[in-house]
Parts: sequence; C-alpha cells; structure tokens
Amino acid sequence: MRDTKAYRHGYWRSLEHRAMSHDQEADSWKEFAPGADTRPASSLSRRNFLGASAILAGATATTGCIRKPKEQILPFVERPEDMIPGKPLYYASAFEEGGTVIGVLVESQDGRPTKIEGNPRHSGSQGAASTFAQASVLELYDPDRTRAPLEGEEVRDWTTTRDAVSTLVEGYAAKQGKGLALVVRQMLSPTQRYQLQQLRQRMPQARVFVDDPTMPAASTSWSAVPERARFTRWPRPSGCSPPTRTSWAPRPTTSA
Amino acid sequence: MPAIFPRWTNNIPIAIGLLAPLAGAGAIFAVWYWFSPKYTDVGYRPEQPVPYSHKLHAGDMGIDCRYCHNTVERAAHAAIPPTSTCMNCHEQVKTDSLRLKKVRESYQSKKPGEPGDPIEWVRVHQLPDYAYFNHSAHVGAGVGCASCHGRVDKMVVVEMAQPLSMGWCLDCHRDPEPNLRPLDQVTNMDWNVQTESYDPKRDPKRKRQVDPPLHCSGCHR
Repeated sequence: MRDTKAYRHGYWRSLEHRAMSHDQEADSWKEFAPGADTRPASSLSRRNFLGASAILAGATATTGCIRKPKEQILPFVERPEDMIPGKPLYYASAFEEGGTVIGVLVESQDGRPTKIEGNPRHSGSQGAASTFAQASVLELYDPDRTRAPLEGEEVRDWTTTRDAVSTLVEGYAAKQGKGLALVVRQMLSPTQRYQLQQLRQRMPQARVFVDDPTMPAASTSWSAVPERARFTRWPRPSGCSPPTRTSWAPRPTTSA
Repeated sequence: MPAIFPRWTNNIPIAIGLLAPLAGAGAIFAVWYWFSPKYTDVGYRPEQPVPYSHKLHAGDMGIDCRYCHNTVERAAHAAIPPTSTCMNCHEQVKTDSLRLKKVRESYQSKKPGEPGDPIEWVRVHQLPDYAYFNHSAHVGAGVGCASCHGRVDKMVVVEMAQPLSMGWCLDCHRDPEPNLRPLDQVTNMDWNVQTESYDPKRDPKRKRQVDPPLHCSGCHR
C-alpha cells in the first residue's frame, strides 16, 4: 500500500518518501505520483502552442521596424538660476564631526544631493572628507527613507503628526519637562545650542544627554567606559546666554 | 507501373531554384529598407501639446536657437526651454491667444509659492540609452544645428530630418570637414555647407583641429 504523503511534492524528496512509496503488490518503488506520466487534459493543444509561438516570434521580429516608444519631455516651469539640466550643481557646505568642521562640496543632480566630498578650496579639508562626512549624504537624501510620518506601521499625515507632537510637548511643558530626556549629538551650531537653551528654560526638569562617538573625548578617554556611562548630563543653564565652550564640554570623569 | 507523382512535379525543383533567391533577396530588401531608421525615424513628426511653430519664431522672426535651447553650448542636452522662457515675450505678446492657453496654464501657480505644472512636450529626437551624445562638444566643434536637425526654421511642426543612426553618425565622424562651419555660424540656418567654401584647418579662430572618435567607446561608454 503506497502512502500518498510520499507524493506531496510530486516526487521524492527524501529517503522517507522513497520508503513510503513502496508498492507491495508490484514489489517496487514508484518515484512519481500516480498519473504523473499521463498528459493532463489541457485546452492548449500542441498545434495551438506552436501557432502561438510562431505569432510571438513574428511579433518580436517586427518590433525592430516600429518606432521607439513615445517619450515626453517635461521641462521646468521656471528653471532655477545657474541650473543646467543634466549637469550637476556643487554647493560648498560644512560637515560637523568630532568637535570640528569639515569643508565639503555637495554634488546635486537635478536637485537631489548625490555625493559629498571634501572642498578642495577649503583650507581645512583640502579636498578630503571623512567616511562620516561622505555617508552623511543619506541624511540629506535617501530614497529608502520613509516619505511620510509613521505611527507604528500606520501612515499619518503631517497635520496629525504636528498636532500629536505639540500635544506631547505641551504635556511635558506643563510638568516642567519632568520625565523628558533628549539624546543629542554634539553640536557646534550656536543656533542649535540657543534653541536647546530655550528648551531647557521652558522645561528645567528635562534632561539632555550628549552621545557622540565622533567626539575626541569619546574616542580617547571614554573608550574604556561602559556604554551607558558615555552619556553625559548637559550642564544646567546658567542664564539666557548660549553656553560657552567650557560649560558645554562633556565631563568625562563621571564614572571613570 | 503508374507514376506516383504527376508529371508537373518535375518543375518544382526549378521553381524553388528560381523563387528561393527572389524570396531571400526580398527578405534582405525588406529589412534593409523598412527596418532602417531612414524609414522608421526620418519624418517622425509627433503632435505637440502646444502648436509652437519654429518656422514663425526661428524662421520669420529670426530668434536665435540658443535663446530657448540655451544649455546647448554647455551641456550634453539642448534643454527644452522652461515655460518662463515662453512667457518672457508672451506676457506682453498675444496674451489672449487660444493656442497659448496651455502655456499660460502651465505658468500659473496652483499653490502659492509653487510653480505650475510643466508642459508635456513630446520628444522628437530620441537616441537609445546606450549611445552617448553631447551637444556642447558638437556645437563647440562647429557642427551646425541644421546639419543634424535640418531646416528647423522652415518647419511648422518639428520633424526628424536625419536618421540619427550609427552609420549616419560615423559617416561624419570619419570625415567631419564637409560638415564644419565657422564657429559663429553654428546656429545660422542659411549657411550652406555645400556652397560655402570654408576650410576649418585655416580658420584662426579654431583653437584645435576637430578629431572625432571612431572607436566604440567614444559613444557607447
């Protein structure tokens, strides 16, 4: 008695299948399921199949003498100044890394940043850029990045998102920022620091941590420090003025 | 014993011998003629969304090609002009023409701070993606617009004047001199390369002699 389980895939896949397919009456093994060697009834007869192949081959051959597909050209309504379609534009910019700034050139193709390389005319970088600076092009433009705000897996529109975030912020502001913690990269931008200062004034209970592996302190004396201890308390605000360089600097001796 | 085949079947080999070469020659002719870009591409004249007449603008009024196709000297593409180029004049001229309706609609902003929708022109000259072509190199070498695009100043609707096939490109790359003209006559449609006597080798304005590539990777990069 042959076991139909042996033919679940249409043929043997293991020695167990082979053992199951033993036909005791014929005293032999049958590799294929019963009926596998008979031609299935089909609407496509051999004659029709050959006819269809001939038509397909003929159609493929004749496409050679049909004109290329119709293509549209959509020019700008107003072309940005200095832009030549098909030619990249280069913007001089700066990339912040490890407490210093690298002068870079950002290549832009049709308005999309595609490459970041050092600015040869910048005295600091002299045409070179670090791996971090080169990879930062994906912070500017990344086709794989989500185009809409997500809540879990659900797509939300921008108005809903803004409302939700402002509700969240208002909630923390009412509690003086208690329970709110920000993890930020090292920032040299006076504007960003001023904004952070304003946030700290509004929510004095909020805590700000700096975590930046590119900081020189992090790469030298902190390397032996456990991951959690690398976070450093942002210094308490001492007034409305932006923090000075010294007050901003991390305190590497927290636990080491 | 009666014959299995009738007598006329003796003519079949002769008929095959006569007809087979004809059929073969016919097939070769059909591919050579009907598959050629000279047949499939020359005269291709798609309908454009705006009935812009090159004859009126470039011919009768004598606007230089580069007023609209202004990237031709600097880039690989001779870009189709933005709508704003049309509106440079048409904000003052023919402001209520029905033919310009789509141009005005395109120029009109749908949202504040954003430009309108571009005009969907139909591409006329279309090279395959595996062929590289650079307008600025050809214009810089003194190949006239008319050499490849024909007398655009006489076309009401633009059509393809040349096959733009590989053989056609190579004809000129092998012997470019008959198609060269003084560098300041590139956009001049009336300058006739056949009748004017011009020797690019004796032109003091040329910085270097023209040496077009003939190797495969010159165009198939």
